[in-house]
Amino acid sequence: MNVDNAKSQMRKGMLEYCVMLLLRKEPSYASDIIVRLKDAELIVVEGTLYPLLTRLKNDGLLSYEWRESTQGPPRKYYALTTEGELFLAGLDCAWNELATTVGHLKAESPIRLEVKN
Amino acid sequence: MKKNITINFFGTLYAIDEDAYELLNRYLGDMKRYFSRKEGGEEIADDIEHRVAELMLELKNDGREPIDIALVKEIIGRIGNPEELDEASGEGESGSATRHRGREWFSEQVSKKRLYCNPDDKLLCGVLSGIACYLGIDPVWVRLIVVALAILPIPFIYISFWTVLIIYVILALIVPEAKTPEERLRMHGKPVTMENLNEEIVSSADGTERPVVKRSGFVQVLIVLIKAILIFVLASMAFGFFAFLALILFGASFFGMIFNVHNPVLQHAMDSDELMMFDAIANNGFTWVSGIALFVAALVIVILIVHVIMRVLGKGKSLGRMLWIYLAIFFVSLIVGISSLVGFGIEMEYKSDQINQEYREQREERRNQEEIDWLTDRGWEVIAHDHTYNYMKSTEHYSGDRSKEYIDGFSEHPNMLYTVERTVRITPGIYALEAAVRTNGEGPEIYAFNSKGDRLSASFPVYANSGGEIWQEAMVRMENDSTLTGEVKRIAEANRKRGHGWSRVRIDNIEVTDSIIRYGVTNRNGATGYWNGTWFSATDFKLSKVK
Repeated sequence: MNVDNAKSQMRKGMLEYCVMLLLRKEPSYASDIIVRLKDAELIVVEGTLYPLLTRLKNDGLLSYEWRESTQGPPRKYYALTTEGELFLAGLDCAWNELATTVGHLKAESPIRLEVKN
Repeated sequence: MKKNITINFFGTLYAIDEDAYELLNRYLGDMKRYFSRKEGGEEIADDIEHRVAELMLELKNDGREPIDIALVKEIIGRIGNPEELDEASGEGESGSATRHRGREWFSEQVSKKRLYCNPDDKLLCGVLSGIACYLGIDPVWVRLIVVALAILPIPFIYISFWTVLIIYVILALIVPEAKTPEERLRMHGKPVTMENLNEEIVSSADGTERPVVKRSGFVQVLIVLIKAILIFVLASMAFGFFAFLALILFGASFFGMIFNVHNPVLQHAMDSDELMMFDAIANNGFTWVSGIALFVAALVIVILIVHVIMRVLGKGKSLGRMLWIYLAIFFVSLIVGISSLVGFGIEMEYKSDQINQEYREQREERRNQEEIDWLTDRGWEVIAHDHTYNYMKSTEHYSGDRSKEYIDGFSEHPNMLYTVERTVRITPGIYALEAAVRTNGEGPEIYAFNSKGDRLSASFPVYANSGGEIWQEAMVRMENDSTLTGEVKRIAEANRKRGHGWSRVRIDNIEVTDSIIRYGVTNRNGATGYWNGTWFSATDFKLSKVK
């Protein structure tokens, strides 16, 4: 197992949470989200986002509305539903716990750069 | 030089290279196909299409039109292949299963080598060339082998020309032509990857790397000749089936029009049961169903043959799935047609039995009425006639005269009962009743009632169908005087000198005080009702006044 793969797994786990965080700030459309996620290096291929959005929407956590765009086709603007807000609050708690736990674990095991042969 | 087209994508016009367009189209098609298997998949594919449009719009705004294949590749690289999307979105434990399936789907798409008709190197339909591609050998060898199989009478593996032709025709109908770049890759067994596909698209767009095989003038002439022969053969087959079709149509309407009971010409020409038979055929549901079904089957074959001819002429397309529909229609109508023919046969068998039965009964009735009339004419009255076929008979009269008639009852039924009586006006006195009789079992008797109502009777001696007292007497007289001729000689020689079993019986002392006497003959003993034979005959009733 190489390090890239492990990183990719970690990102994948985070993706859903991050997308919902972005949407809590303001309703956005897919391309905005893509730009933010790409900046954060959370996704590699853009298409990944669409199945995720559709799933969250089907689960009732997101809703969307069509908005006319100044150029090109109309855009889907996604926003959190009330249910989504509650779900996200749950995720916040989980994240905080996780971050605390990971913080503790890191503090207990300082980095050693010796390599055993 | 590249062909450049304009497309309308979500309301915006883009100038795009044709090969780039093909690639884009295929990509979006793949997405749709892939996600259509998933819940909410259409929406996802739609979103992705929107994203593609957005990226294209960016390119347009940057002034990068016409969009070439490199730019399309870039877009695809950004958004990702279906399999990448699926893997990245991994949805917990169930996600791993979907991921696995996704990969399988893709690898299936990539590696499957398929049989196509080769449009780039074909003599007739490109079937053999396609097989050669599939096997990875030179088409020449496949063609040579097939021609050899069709023509040469090689021992053990001799296959007739017709078998080969029919198999070729079926293949030409089933196997699609490799039209799209994707299909061409599969035909050659190359993996369908982005790179290969792009290469194929580019080369087909350029028209440079697709070598359409060039042939010499002689070979060209040969090809035209073979095509002509094949078309001739197929056309004659089509014509044959067409004739069959016409025959069914014409035959059915001809039968319906001509052969029915209302046709006066037929009514005149045919006997009633023949007419009934033809009417049954013409107006039978089974005949119509099988006629229509066979018509449809023949029609399907004609359509298929015409289709092959079109393909040979290079104008037809592969039928693909339609072929299976055609074949299904063909087989269903064939089965329906044949089974209703069988049903028709069964029904006719049954009907002809019925008709025969009716006819027999009618004839019987007619004959019986004639026989009863014969009795009535002679003053006889039928008292009982149960389980018996006849009333009278000829051909076995004791005199040997085959036309002489006599009272006769016959049946193998144990409950047979046949009695006839006659009432005669006479002057009072004492009478004797005599008759010539025969039987093959005990029971039959002649009887008479005297004026007191007593029943007097005389039983038949049993000689069955030969000998008999009348014959014996005649034989004795002939032995004594061989010069005798006439009646005596005829009696002695009846039934090839064996006689027919006749004897004379007699009832004496019948006292008649009033002027009426009633007498008769029956097969059953008057006191016991006994009868163990199967036939009896009686004739020559003679009432004589003794006193």
